[in-house]
Amino acid sequence: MKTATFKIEGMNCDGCANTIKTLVESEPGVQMATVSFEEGQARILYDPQSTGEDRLVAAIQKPGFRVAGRH
Amino acid sequence: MRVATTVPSSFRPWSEEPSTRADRRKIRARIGGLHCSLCTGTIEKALGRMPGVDKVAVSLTHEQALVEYDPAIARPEELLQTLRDIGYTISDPRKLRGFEEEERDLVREARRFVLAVVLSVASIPIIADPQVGWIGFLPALVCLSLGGFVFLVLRSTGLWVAIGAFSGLVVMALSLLYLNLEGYLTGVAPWLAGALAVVLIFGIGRHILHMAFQALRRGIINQHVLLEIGAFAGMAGGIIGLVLNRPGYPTAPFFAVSVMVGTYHIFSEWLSLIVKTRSSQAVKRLLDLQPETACVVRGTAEVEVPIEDVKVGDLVRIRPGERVPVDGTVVSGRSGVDQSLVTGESIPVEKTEGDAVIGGSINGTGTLLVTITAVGEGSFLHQVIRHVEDARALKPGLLHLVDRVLRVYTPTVLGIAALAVIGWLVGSWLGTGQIDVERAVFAGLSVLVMGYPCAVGISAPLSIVRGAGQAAEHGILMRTGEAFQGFRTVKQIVFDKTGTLTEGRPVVREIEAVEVRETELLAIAAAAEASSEHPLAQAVVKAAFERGATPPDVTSFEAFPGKGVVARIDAGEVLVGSPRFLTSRNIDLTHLHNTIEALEAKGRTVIAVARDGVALGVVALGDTLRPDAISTVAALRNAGLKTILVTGDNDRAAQRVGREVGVDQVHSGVLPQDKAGIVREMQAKARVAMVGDGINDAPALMQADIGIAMGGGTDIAIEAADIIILSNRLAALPIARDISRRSYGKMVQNVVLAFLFNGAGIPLAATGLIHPIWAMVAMAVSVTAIFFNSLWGSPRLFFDAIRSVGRPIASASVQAV
Repeated sequence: MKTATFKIEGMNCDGCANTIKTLVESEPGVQMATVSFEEGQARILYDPQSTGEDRLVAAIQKPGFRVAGRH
Repeated sequence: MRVATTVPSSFRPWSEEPSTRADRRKIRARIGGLHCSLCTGTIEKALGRMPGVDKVAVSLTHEQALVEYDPAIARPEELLQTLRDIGYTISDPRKLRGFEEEERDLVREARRFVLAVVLSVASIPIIADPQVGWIGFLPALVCLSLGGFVFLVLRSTGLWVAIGAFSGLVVMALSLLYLNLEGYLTGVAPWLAGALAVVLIFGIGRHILHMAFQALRRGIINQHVLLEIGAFAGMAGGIIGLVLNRPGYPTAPFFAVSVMVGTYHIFSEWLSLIVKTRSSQAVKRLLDLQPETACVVRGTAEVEVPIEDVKVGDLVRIRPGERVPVDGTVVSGRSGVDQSLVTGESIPVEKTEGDAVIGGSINGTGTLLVTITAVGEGSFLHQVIRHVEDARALKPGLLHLVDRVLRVYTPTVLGIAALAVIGWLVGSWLGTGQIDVERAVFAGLSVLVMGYPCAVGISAPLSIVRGAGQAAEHGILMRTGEAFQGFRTVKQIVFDKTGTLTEGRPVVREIEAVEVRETELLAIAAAAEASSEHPLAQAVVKAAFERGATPPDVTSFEAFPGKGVVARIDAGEVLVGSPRFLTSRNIDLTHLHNTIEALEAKGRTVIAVARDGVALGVVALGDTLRPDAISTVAALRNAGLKTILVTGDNDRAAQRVGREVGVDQVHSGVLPQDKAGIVREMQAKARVAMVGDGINDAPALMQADIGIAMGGGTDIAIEAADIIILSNRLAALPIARDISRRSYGKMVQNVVLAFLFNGAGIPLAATGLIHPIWAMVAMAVSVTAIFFNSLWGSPRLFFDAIRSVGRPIASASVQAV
C-alpha cells in the first residue's frame, strides 16, 4: 500500500472535490481517497501493484483539473 | 473494464432535438452532479474535445447538456459515457418529466394571474368616482401593487418585457381614468365592468368555478365556494343595477368587486402552487435520478437493461459498490452486503452462493452474480410501497386551520346575509308600512361581497414561505402543511436506531495495542484487511488512512471467510481476525482476554492482530451514536415529549443504545411491516412523530402524524416524510419543532388579519348603507397587512419565490442546501 498526496489546481467548489474523489475511488487499485477543496489537494491510498501515480494523475486530469505537484 | 463487455442497450437516457444542419444530430441529456457554474465549463471542454462534436451547451440551472455532433463519427452512448467518466451522472428523463410538467403548470398559472391583473387594473379606473372621495385612492394603490406583481412575474422572462408590460398597464389605467373623468364612459362604465367580470369569472377563472361546483356537490364549503358566492353576489348586484338603471346605484363597483376578488383568488392559488411545487422539487433533488438499470448477463455479453425489463430467472451482475437492483439469490461470488437501509442491521452481511439478496441494499467490495427471484409486485421494495400506501390510508387527517375557520365562518356569513335581507324587509315594513325590497337585496348582496375574505388564500402560503425559508437556513425541508401545523402538537416521538440515532456504519471505536504503537497496529491490520472481502475491512482501512498510517505491502495473502486472514508482509506473517480464529492458530490472547470480553459486552465486534505468532493487540468496531443524539433526545424530553426507540435489531443491542441515548421506551426486533402498527397504536394516545431513514421505516413515516426523514436516507423514506433533515443532524429536530410553532403562530395571525377587516365590514354591510367600494378597501388593507406580517424582515423570500417561476429547481427559496 502507498499513500500519495497531489496538489490539484482547477477545483472550484466542494462539488469538484467530490467529483474527483468519486473518480479516483473508482480506479482499480485505489483503496481510499480524500479530496479537499480548501487545501486544494487529494490524499490517496492505493495498491502500487494495481495502479501507479501516473494513472492516478491521469484520472484526476481527465475532467480538466491539473495536478500541480506530488509528494 | 466495463465498457468492453457492455453491448449497446435498448435504453436511451437522452432526447433527440431538431438540428440546425441536415448532416448533424442534436441530443439533450439531463445531468446530475453539477455543483457550480465552472463545472459546466469542465463538461463543455471534455465533450468539445471528442471527435465529431460540433457544439456543446451546458446549463447549470436546467441541469442539462445540448450536444450537436456528426452521427457518422460520434455516438450518443459514447458522449454520455464520457460524461460519466469525468464524474457526472446522467438522469433518467422519465424521472424528470414530473419536474418539467410542474414547472409548466406554474408558468401557465402565472400567465393566468397576469391576465387577471390586466382586467383588475382596467376595472378600477372605470369605477373611479370623484364623489366617493379619498377612499377611491385605495383601489388605485391596489392597482399599483398588482402592477408590481406583474413586473415581478415577468422579470424572469426579461427586464424589457417586464418594463413594457408594467408601462402598458399604467398607460391603460391612465387612459381609462382620463376617459372616465372626462365623462366619456357615463352609461358605458357598468357594461364595461360587467364584461370584465364575466370574462374573469367564466373565462380566466373557470377552473375555480369548476372546483367550487365540485366541492359544493360533495357538500363541502371551502375557499372556492366562498369566493364564488362573493363573486356571484357582486355580479347579481351589478345586474340588478343594470336592470333598475337608477342614478347613484353602484352598478359598476359591484362588477368591479367581482373582478378584484377573482384576481386575488387566482393570485393566492398561484402562490400556494409555487409553495407546493418548490417543496416537491426540493424533495426530488434528494432522490436518485439516475436511470434504474440492471446489468443482465446474456450468454457472454452483459447488457444494461431498464429495471422494468428484468425477468425472474435473469442473471444479473452486481459490481462492487452498486445498489442491488432486484431481489435474487447469489449464484456465484462473495461480498459483504450492506442491508442497513433495508432491514436496519448495522453490520454488513456476508453473502455467498445460495444466499438471498434484497433489492435496495448496497453491495460491498465483491462482485456477485445473482439470479432474479422476484420482480415488480412480488419484490421486497413493492411490498414496502404497498405498506406505505396502506399507512397513507390509515394516517390520521389534519384539518387545515383555514378550513377549520371556514367551516364556521361561511355559514355565519350566509346567515348574516339572510338576516340582513329579512331584517330590512321586516324593518321597513314595521317602520314605514312599506316593504323596501330593493334595500333588503342590496344589504344581503353587500354582506356576501364583503364576506369573502380574499386575503385568506394567501395567509397560509405566505406563512409557509417564511417558515420554509427559516427552515432551509437550518438545513430542514418542511414539505407539507402538516409539517407546519402538526409538529408543534406532537407528544410522542419515535426514533429508528440504525442510521438515525446512530451513524449506521461500523467504525473503529477502540484500539488496544500491546506490543506496538496504535498507528502501527492499525497499519498492519489494514494491510491484511485491504484486499479482504470482509465487511468490516473498509472501516479498519479507513481508520488507518485517517490516522495517516500507510499499510505495508502484502506479498502473499489467504482469506478464511467469516474468520480472518493470514497475510505476509516484509516484517513477518500477520494474522488478523476474530479472537477465536487467532486462538485456533495458537496465538496466546490470555493477557487480552479481559479487554476483549469488556469490548464485546459493549456490543463491539473485536478483531485481533498478531505478527509472527505474537499478539499485537485488538481493534474494536461498532456503530456510533450520532454526536448530537443524546442532547437531542434530552432536549425533546425536556420539551415534554415521550421518546421511543423502535428497531429491527436484537433486544440486547437495542436496550444498550436506548440506555446510552436516554429514551423513555425501547421496542426491539420489530419487523418492517410492524413499525407502522406500533406507531398506529401510539396514535390512540396522542400525536406521534417518527424519525427514520431506511426503506423499512417508510410505512411508519407515512403512518405517523409527522414523518421525519434524514436527508441521507433512502428515496422511499424521503418521499414518505413530511419533514426532511437535509443537514443529517438530529439537533435540527427541536429547531423544526420551534419553526412549526412559530409558523403556526404567524398563520393564526394571518388568518385573524384576513377575517378581521371583512368581519368588521359585515355588520356595516348588513345595514345596507355602505358602498361596495368598501369591500375593496377591506381587501386591500387585509392583503397588505398579511404581507407585512408574514414577510417583515425577509421580503426576499417572497420575491425569490415569485421570480423563480419558469426557472426550475434553481434559486427557489424553498430549496435544498
